[in-house]
Formats: sequence, C-alpha cells, structure tokens
Amino acid sequence: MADAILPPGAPPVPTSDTPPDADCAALAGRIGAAWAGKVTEVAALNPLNHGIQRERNVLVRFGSDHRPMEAFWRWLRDEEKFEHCSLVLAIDHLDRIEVKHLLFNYTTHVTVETSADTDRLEPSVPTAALVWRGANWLEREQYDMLGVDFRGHPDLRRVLLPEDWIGFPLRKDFEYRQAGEWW
Amino acid sequence: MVVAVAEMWINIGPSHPSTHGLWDLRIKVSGEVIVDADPQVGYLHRSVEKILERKEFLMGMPITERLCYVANMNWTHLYIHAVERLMNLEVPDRAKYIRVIVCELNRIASHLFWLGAYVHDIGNLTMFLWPIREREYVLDLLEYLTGARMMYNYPRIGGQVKDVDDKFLRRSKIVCAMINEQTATYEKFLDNNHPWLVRTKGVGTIDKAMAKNAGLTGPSLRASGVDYDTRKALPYWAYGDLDFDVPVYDEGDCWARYRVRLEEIRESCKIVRQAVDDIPAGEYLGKAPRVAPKTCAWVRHEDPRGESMCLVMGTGGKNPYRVKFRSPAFVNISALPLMLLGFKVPDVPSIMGSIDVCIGEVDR
Repeated sequence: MADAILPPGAPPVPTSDTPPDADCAALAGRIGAAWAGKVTEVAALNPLNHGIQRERNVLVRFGSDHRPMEAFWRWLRDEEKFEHCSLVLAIDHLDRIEVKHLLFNYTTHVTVETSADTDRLEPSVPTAALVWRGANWLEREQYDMLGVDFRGHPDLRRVLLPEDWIGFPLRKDFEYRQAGEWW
Repeated sequence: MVVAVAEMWINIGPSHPSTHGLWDLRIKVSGEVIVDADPQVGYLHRSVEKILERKEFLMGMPITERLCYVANMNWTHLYIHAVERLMNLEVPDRAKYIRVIVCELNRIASHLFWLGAYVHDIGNLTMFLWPIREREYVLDLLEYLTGARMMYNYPRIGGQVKDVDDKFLRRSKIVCAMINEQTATYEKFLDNNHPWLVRTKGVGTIDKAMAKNAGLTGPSLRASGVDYDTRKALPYWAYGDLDFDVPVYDEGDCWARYRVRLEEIRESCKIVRQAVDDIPAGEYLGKAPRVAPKTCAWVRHEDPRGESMCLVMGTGGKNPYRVKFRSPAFVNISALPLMLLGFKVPDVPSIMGSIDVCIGEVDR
C-alpha cells in the first residue's frame, strides 16, 4: 500500500555485503533459537558504511501477536544484559503504526531494535516501562504524539502537550484546527 | 506519641531561578523530606519533529539548532549526520576533523556554562563569572569561524559550509590551553570549599544499577560508575583516531557529576589539541544528493548532556517522512524523582542543577 508509492527519481535503498559483527550474528542466533515461532524475523543487519559510524544492529520483528514482547524484553535484559532502553518511537505508515524500541548493551555495544506493527485505529502494544524505567517517558511521549496505547504502562499521560489537547500531532492526518483552542 | 506530619505538593517552577529554563518540578514533601516528585515539561514545545517533515533536508537544519541553545553545534551536526547516514554518504576526512573540533569546542562552552550556572545555584556567586568569562573565548572563536555567536548554521550535508583557516586552528589551541589551565583554578577553588562540598557530596545519589535502568546517560551515568562514552564505544567522524580518556566516578552524587564534567572539559581540550595537529588537508565539502532513499537510518552521538540520537526516515524524495530525536535531558529529567527521594527541600536546587537540563531539547 503506502510502501509502494515512490516519487519519480527516488534513489535506491543502499545495500551492503559486509558481514555483521560476530557478537551480532551470535546474538541473532540465540534469539532465533530461544524465540522461534514467537518472532517473525530476526536478522543481524549488514553494516552499511563504517566510515559514517560503526553499526552493530540486530533487528527483531514481531507479528500480529504482541503477547511475547514483554517476556522477550525481560529475557533480553536479564539473560543478555541489555540494560539500556535508548529510544522508543512510533511511525505512522498510513495503513498501520509501527512501534520500535531500541535497546542497548553497555558491554558489547550491540543495539537490538524490536519492531511491532499495530492497527492504526486502535494502536496498542505492550509497555517496556516495567522492564526499563527509562522507557517510561519515552513511551509517554509517543502516546502524546501518535496516540499509541502502551498496555500496562504505569503512568500513561500526555507529557509535552497540554492534558486537554485533542488529537495526535505526529499522525499524518492531523489537522491543527482539531486541537481546539490551543493552536 | 503520634506526630501528624502534613504532606503537601510544592511547585518549583515553571519560572524559578534554579530551573534554568521553563519547566516545573513538583515535589511532595512530608515535613521537609521529599517523598514524591513529578516533573512537568512541555512549556517550550515547538513541534520540531513535525516541522521537519514539511522541510527539505537542508532547510530543516537551522531548526535543529534551536533544539538546544547551549549545545547547538552538537545538535545540528547530529541531524546532518543522521541525514548523511540515510543517504549513505561519507564526508571528506578534513570535514570529519573540523566537525570534531567545533563539536568539542561547543562541548567545552556548554560545560563551562553549566558550571557557572550550577555554582550560582549552590550560592557561590564568586565562581559564577569565571567559567562564563572563559566561555566567551570559545564563543569568540566560533563567531570568527561562522559569523554567529550562538546559532552557527555551520554543517552542510556532505561537509561544512566554510573551511577553517590557520588563524582559527592556532587560536583554538591557545584557548584550549588557557581553559585547561583554568580548570585547575576551578578545582582548587571548589574542592577546598566547605559549603560547596556539604551541598554536593552525598546529595542526589543514584546507584549504578538504577542509573542504567532509569536510562541516565552522559556525565550523569558516568558519575554512577558506568564506563560508557559513545565517542569511545561507537566512534564517529575522527574520534576513533584520537586519544582521550573517559572520566568515571563511582559515587553517583552531585559532586561526582561535577567532577565528571570538569574532567570532560580537560579531555575535550585534549581532543581539540590533537585534532588541530592532525587535521589533514583536502576537501571540506563533498558532493551530496538532494533526495534520500525510502528507508530508515539513525545515529548515536555523545551530546554534552548524554546520549543523543536522531532517526530519519526518507520518502524517496526531498523531505523526511519522520524525524525523531532522542533528547538525553528528557530522560534524565524523568529519572530526577529517583535522585530526589529522601532528600530535603534545600537539596533540590543542587540535584536539579546537577543533571544539566536544557529545556529547548527536552521539549523540542
């Protein structure tokens, strides 16, 4: 759907043949073995260009069943020592909303990116705020901006916008007039 | 005998001398002990991420400079670096060294400004003007290079807008040597200063496990004993070729956070000195496309306040589809309640100043 629309003259997505780091490949193997059937995709990403910044990324994609996500995060924190939640973001793809969590290991410096697609009308994924406290405000911000309901979040309130704001500004169909008197 | 202690909420801010910006720290006190805290942010929200979706890549650059008015050089370079990563574009070697020099100079200015403001919070008005005075020399240098004292507009996609000249490089070294010497003066003044030690040592403590779990980054994390610096761990630009140390303290209190920042000023001086000596000749601006592929890319930087990240998603055309900034101070503020619990009301200015907030980047 929305993915297929490209403007004329769009450059191709860069690819790379450089094999991923040994740490990343081993971690992807362990995730694949322990979470087979629960995740739809595990990949140690091929780094593009180390001259820009060293890349050590593992991508984990969940299907429509989001239930194993929280158990996976706990496993990642306790067994694999991913002690830091770097970033939480949601992207409005017009036909779905994608929620990404970027998790970081302070010893191996590997980043795991978990990605889950959710319905655009009632976007909802499990929360990581009970696993990493640092995810608390990052998830609140995504709720504020895109209206994603992080199930089980201890304190899901608006953080940057006023509490009586109407609508979610970072959605593609947001109209500033709908925000009421605030704009 | 049962003594009834009344609990109440106190608003510190949104307009208060020790907030350094426009935010509101609500604390719940039982007598004089803090039992709960709830920071309120968002007074300065300018919807930078939404504005950037409507702009071409380079047009968005001046807006990212307004993210943080103390460390603007770091934030523009972060955004431009993320766009370059999206285009898979590597900058020329000379540009990599120029970026290291200007970002480290900006880090020195930011830490000096923090030090001046922080000692002022604690009540040490003599010391307030010293770091601010030294900061002016750094700002003069960057003004000589870019023409602006605060909003520099210096990087471009693929390099820099203007080359550095010998005068700038020579003066950078002189200024860094001078600031390096001055840090010894600050150290001598503060580390023998009894009121300063009483108000910072053992105040606002957070232990290593909690600091990591709460998402603290940057000097606040290193003050809790975690040896992690993005410039060392995942080097970008020329940082991999330069020799510098990462100061780490185990105490996790306000004093350790001050020590980490003070020593980072020295390390930054060291980095600038080496980068000026090693800077290669050649191009400072490469060729860059105007359009980016339809994919997602992000970079991780060491901002003066912590780990900053920028994620850019392209549309295949001239403008981004989604831009997301990770603001280190935003997450550090969310960890503030953990540092405040159990301390008393007079400790609040020293704890809230010690994480170095910059509201421009928190609210975006």
